[in-house]
Amino acid sequence: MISDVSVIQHCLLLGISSSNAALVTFVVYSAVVMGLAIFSHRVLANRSFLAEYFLGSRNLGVWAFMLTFAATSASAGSFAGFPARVYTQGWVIALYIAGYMTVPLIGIGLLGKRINRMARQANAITLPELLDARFRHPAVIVISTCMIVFLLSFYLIPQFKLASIILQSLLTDVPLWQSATHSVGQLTQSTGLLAKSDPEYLLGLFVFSITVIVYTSVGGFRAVVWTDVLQGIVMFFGVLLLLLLVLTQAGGLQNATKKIAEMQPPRLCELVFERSQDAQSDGAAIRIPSESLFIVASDTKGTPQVFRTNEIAIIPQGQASSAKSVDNEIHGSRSVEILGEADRQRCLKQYEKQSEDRYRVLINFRVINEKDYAFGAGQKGVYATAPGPSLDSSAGFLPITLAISFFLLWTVGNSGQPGNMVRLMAFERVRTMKRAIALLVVYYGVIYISIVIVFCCARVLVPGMDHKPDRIMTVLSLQVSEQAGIPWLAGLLMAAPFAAAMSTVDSFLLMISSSLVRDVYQRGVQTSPSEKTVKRLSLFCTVTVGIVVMVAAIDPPRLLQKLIEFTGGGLSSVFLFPVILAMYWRRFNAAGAIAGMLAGFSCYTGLYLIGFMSDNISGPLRPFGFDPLIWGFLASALLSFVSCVLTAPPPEELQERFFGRLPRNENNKAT
Amino acid sequence: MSTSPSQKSPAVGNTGVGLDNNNIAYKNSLREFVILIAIWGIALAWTIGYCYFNAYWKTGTEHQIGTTFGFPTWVFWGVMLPWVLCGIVSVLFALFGIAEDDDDVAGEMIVVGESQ
Repeated sequence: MISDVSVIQHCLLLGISSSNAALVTFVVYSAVVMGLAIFSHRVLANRSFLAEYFLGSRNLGVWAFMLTFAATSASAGSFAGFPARVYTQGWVIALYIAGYMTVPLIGIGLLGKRINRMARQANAITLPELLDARFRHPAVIVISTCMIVFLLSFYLIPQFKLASIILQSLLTDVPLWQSATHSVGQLTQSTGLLAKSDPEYLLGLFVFSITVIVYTSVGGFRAVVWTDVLQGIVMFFGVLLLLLLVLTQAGGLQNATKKIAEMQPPRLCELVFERSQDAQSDGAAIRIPSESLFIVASDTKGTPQVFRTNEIAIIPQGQASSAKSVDNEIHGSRSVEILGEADRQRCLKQYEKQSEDRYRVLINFRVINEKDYAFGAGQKGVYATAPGPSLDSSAGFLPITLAISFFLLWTVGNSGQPGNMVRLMAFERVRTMKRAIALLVVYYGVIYISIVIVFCCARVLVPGMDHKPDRIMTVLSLQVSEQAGIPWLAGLLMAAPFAAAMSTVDSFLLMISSSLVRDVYQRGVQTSPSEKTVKRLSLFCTVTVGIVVMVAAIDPPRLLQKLIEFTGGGLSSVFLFPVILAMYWRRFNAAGAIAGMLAGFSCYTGLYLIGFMSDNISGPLRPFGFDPLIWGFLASALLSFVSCVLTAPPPEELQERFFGRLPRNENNKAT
Repeated sequence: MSTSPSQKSPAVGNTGVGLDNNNIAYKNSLREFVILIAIWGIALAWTIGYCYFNAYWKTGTEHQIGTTFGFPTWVFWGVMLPWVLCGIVSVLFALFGIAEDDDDVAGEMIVVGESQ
């Protein structure tokens, strides 16, 4: 829909750019992490990778266990997805994430002791192996492996997106990168889906994907406990430093909250730039950086209009505009019109501060494809109250039923994550676990409350990033560290999640390929393939999964947190109840586990599928307002129980192995 | 809530895991499971209950947003305060309420690795 085709002459304030100091810090940190990974692999050359990667040889001390557990749930989610959620929704995110208050206790305490003990008894290093030992049924390991592989593949997409965003932000001022971006823009301008995408993002995605796929195939940079510990420390102190800078620049929390309470959601739009006859008559390509601010003096309303681009725009050489045609629709650069008097005034002040003429350029553009928020448009206070603004839902972002759903997802659901479960197999002894819970209370409290404060304040400091909110972490880091005179900090804040994303992708690709070959192919197709066949199959799986994820990341959801929520909810729906029952109910058997996993998976993914196939629903189908996670839990619990009681109990020997003597045997012993 | 000596299992070394040890560990875990769920339930009830009545936008009304220590008032009383209290309870329960009953299996190392 083209709502305004008039060409406006306006002024441009160039976007936020990265400094060399940030780039140097990024490279140095990445080199240190890589060196640490290589060194640790040499030291631990005689130990199995999976055993070391997952379990640190099952002798992790308090600090190592605590930090690896925290780093497992970090990476792309904590550094891009969650900040983007806070930035987009405001203070209601405090309620969305409130479940984290019990995560240290529930996430570790609920299953920690049982899983650790049973994994030691079974000598298992992954969840499917533990379930195999507990049930001794081939279908259990095959089904659980397939579901982990399927759902974890979705978890890889945010890692690819995060790494691409970071590369994009850091390299945007490098001449070689700029000319490569121009070439990508020209190559993709008439190529369907690719034409709609930001060429700078596409370039970042391509570079990262090729690097990580090749890297993994030839040996890789795998996450080990040591690198996880380093990430955990950098994340903790980095977020604290960012909190300090942001609060200083926003004038304190009280001041920021008052400003947030005055804000109203912006209008999303696309901008098509036109070549001005007088200013750009030579026909050379014109590049308009991402995050550029546009001030348009308005004759009628008295107040100027303010726009911010959220992606790069290029007017190719010899062409008149930056418009892209996709399926007979005209597309421009995704941008935001900043609404609300206070926000506009802040942007004008920012514009006036930038006095250098080279940052002030006249260019023409037209505004197309405008979209207002479905809930919260034109309402002050929506960022400081629940349910929070929503682009798609007229009920707002977080109705009370969804608040309950997310409380469950972050707490009980956290216990159902296979990634966390394998970490629970790693601590040295119960005393370690107890102390780690106490430390995690502090760690999670500081990290998550700080991130909520930082990115609520980001609405005040960097308004108008709502079309590409996943970039807010990088943009905010660059802006506040530059203003504070410590630009290297931005490099560090981006290097930590980049290294985490890279090691996560590497390790997960390896895990997926080895699981498919070892647990599915070798159990279901050919029991003893040759070593050459195994290697070829592993390589094929790694490259195929890598390419599929790269293609899926070309046009990811606006908020990558949605993928984190989907993956987390799916894994919990599948595994939480079967695993809890397997750990605590001696009567629980393979039939119950299989039925529980399949029911949770079918119900959860079914509700998502119905939602996506329906034109009237935004997101998944949510019966009675509850997230599919709740229905997945219920279906899994019900089917696990019913299937178990209708079938024979597991052999006595198995029950006694994991739960101790059967009651009647105890009586026999007593007599 | 603290661990009584009778609940601690005797060490049997790495030669095997005794059935009695398993029984004690299993019963301890079950007791802790129930207490954890109770703590979680209280946190859920407080947060959701308070926020339901105080955080939500009432359609057609002017919403006054007060602040407490810089947070919107509903965030402070509905999320931050229970978060701090829950943290204190978590630390106390973790340190004094969870039984250390793994003397029989603690220290056992991984015997076999993966086939990668």
